[in-house]
Amino acid sequence: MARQYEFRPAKAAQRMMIVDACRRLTAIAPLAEYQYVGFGGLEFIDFVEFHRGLGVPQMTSIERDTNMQHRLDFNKPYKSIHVLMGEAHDQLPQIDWTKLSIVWLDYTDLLTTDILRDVDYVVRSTQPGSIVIVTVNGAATKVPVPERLSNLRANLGDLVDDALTDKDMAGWGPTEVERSILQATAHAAGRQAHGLPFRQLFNFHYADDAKMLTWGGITTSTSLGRTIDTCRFEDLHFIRTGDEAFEISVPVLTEKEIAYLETELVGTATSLPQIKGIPSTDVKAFAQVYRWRVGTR
Amino acid sequence: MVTPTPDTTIDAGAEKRFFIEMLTKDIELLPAIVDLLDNSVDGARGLHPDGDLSGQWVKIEFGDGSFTISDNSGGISADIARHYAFRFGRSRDFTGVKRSVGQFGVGMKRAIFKIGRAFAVQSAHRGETGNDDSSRFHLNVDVEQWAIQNEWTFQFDSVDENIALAPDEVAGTTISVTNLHPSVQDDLNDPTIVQALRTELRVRHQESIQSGLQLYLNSDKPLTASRPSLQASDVVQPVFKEFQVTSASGGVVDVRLYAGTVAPPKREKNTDPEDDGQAENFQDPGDAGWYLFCNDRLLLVADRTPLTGWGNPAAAYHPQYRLFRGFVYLSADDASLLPWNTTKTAVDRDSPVFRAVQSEMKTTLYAVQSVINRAKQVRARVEEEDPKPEFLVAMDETPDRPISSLLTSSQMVTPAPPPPKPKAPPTPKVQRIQYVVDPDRFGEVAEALGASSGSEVGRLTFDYFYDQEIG
Repeated sequence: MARQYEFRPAKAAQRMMIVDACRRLTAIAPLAEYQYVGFGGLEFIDFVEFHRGLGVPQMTSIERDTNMQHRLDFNKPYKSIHVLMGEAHDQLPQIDWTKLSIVWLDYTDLLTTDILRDVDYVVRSTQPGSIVIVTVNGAATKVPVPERLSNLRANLGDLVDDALTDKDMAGWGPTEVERSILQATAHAAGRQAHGLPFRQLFNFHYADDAKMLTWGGITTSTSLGRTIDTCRFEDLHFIRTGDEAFEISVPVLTEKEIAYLETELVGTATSLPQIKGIPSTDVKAFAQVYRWRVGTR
Repeated sequence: MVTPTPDTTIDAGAEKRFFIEMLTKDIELLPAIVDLLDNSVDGARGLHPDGDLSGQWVKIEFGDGSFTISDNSGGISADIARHYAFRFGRSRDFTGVKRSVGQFGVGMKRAIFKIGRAFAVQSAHRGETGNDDSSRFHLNVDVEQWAIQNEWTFQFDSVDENIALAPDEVAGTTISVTNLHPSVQDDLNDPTIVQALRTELRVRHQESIQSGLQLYLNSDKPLTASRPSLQASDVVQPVFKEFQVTSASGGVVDVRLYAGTVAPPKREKNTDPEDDGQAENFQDPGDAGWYLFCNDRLLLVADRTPLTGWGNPAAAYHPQYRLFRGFVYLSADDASLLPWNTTKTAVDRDSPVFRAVQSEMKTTLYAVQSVINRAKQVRARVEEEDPKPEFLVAMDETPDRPISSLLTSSQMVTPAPPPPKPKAPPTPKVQRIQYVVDPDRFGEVAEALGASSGSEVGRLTFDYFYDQEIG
């Protein structure tokens, strides 16, 4: 099974974590009542994971590159996947939003007001109890620090806080700005459309290549708030409901090292195992992701 | 010795002049006149709970230093006049008319003060039985004099109560304002302002005019109103949602939301929407946008601002959306549930009822825009010689139908647009080479390679060099 995404281990682990969190939706409705909406690309990896992991039967992929249609039809892992060709903002209204949904708007671009419009529309349109996830480029890779703030302002205008300075733009700084704007947009849309703000669950930082942000959460309503509490999303250590991100990094280790660490890790909550020559930060990072790591043991 | 109790009362009374000035400061002349009309329309609606206003009329006349509005809307009873109608602000125990436009109890007085400095009100009210429970009154007020007197009262010049009106006597009200403010006098002599007033009345009360109300403006011909329409047919269905919003107080607002497109004007049917940006094809946005009615009174006219979703989350207005129309009707028995500001020129954006409706408007606009975008994309890729796709035929040729004939639909339905034709993958670029060699040496090389033809020898030797030296 040589899938391209095995070269993107953090993204793969993140996908498994999100699938894991979505299992808890069963407190709201049977998972078979959910539909999955994503940008499958040629590989449809997320479609396979969501179907295998949750059994979600109805799935729709939106694909902007209309030249790929024949290949998409060939590559679809399940015949029933419905492919909509075109830009997200034109195709999203075609979805049947009366169903509960798990929507992953998996962009590769920087966050822009166009993307925020899609997010606003989806948060408003989804039924309370639906999951909305957005991935965008974290606006920090290959952009020199002095240009980051003006870059954000060019893409997002007044939504960028006036109080920010270049000092806030180091490291994941621009990504944090993107996260707060996404959450603010969803918060307002949720409050208007459903009476309660959107509840953030995901705030992942990862960098298989470029620094990326995956943010998301659940639409709620006054009548559903309690039920969502019973999903106990917070029990999962990667759930993030605030500013602080969960950073996924998958250390490069050998099979033997992995086997040893896993053997020693489980059940020994007090101290982390050690291997000579491997920094303890790598061991710690491994401990955070090993259950969702994709690949052989 | 007894200390006298100190006087603890502080005067916080209102100066009437200040009050009049504040009251009229924030309303313009045209909304003030529409506000006067609101009272007449409320009266007419009160007479006809079924909504059929045939036979009801309102006349507005001005010139020669006076402004008069008269109606046959049932009149104001002497009792209501005495206790409620002339109070500033609606009294708590006044029940009012169900599904009314009037709500705040300031419109009539504010409008009168805005227009002039003296007014007369004459009203005949027919009671429920018509026998000895009817009334008639007449009053004259000089606002300047009223402003200097202490009492917050007006005086009837004449009042008859417990009488019967003759069967042919019109039960209604006439309000005449005289001693007009000079600026108002100038405005009412200005043909462009009169034209604007005509449009304003026609548009704002289009639903009542549709329901049979005859509305006259300095003319003996009633104003006509356009009937809201959208493109609809067997294959095209605009959005039509009906739902209820419950206010924080538990009151219920009924909402009807319609959105879609109107048929393109004949002359532009075959123009390419891509030409929008060109000056000669510049399209006036005109009537495009959202129309929001509260108890059938139009509040937002052709709105294309972020308030109704333009630019957030839907795309900002662009000429390609000029055929978009959306109509939203909010109605409530209790007018205070509706999201209007006191001048009825805009919505109260903080109203939770409006927020809920606004959200539906936003997602609906986004969805209708996506249909319009698709039409534009299909138009761009259809070749001249291709037959026109059913989708475009529907968008271009479907006639408008009154929205009252529509069936509910949560989405805008159209024929499916034709799928884009996938482009053939580009043919890889090639470089051809040819050279001449000694036939003996060729034979040796061919044998070493196990090749049988010149082209094969060429390709294999090239690959060999490439693999060894470059790849």
